[in-house]
Amino acid sequence: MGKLSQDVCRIIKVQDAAVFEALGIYAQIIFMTAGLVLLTYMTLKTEKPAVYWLMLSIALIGTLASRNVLYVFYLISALLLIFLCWHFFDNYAKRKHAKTLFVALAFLFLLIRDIQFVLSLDYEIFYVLGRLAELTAYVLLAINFYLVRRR
Amino acid sequence: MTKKRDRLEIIHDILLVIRERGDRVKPTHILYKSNLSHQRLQEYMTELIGKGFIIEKQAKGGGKTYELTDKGFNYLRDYATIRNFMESYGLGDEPAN
Repeated sequence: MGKLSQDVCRIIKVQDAAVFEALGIYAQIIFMTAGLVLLTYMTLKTEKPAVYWLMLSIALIGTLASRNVLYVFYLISALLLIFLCWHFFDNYAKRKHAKTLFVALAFLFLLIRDIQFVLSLDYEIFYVLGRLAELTAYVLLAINFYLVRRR
Repeated sequence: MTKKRDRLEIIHDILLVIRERGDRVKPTHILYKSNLSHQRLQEYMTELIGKGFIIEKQAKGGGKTYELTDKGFNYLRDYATIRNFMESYGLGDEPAN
């Protein structure tokens, strides 16, 4: 654990740095799952919030109650990302703009990241490649955001 | 079959008619372009004036005309941004073939 993490732990009065690290991992799992489920719910174009809460509870309970939380998290994320990729590439086929292509590619890179993280359990190089794929995805989303804001 | 417009879309359509015609737009023209009943349009216009999106003026030859305020222009700009954002994520209406 680096000095920065230890300093943060001291400031927020967390005694053990490992607790802080675990909190970060669980926060990422919860927020990322909630975000992906929300996007999936929105692409379904249903106006029943119960569908969102049902999907979110299944995904979160399934993840947090499993023995290997991280592995199940990446598995569920990958399933949601496969659906989202299909939706975004379908959207690109209907609206052939750079914006729709960037969004589709960004989610494809997030899917690649998920697969690489699962592989990184055995091969560390995939962890680095996964992070690079993730960075590419967020850069593409930022470019899309810039194009949308531009008049 | 065309889909039913939602409230934000109706407000957008009314404001767009007013912007396109400058400050010479009369209620009959808005009524014709916005595709609403007289009563529904009156409700929307009262609300838009009350919330400061448009202002009502007296025309030279009598009658009323309407003009967009800065808030009205901002609404149209932000509406376009949100529509653009939704389209890029495929969350808006399906494009016409």
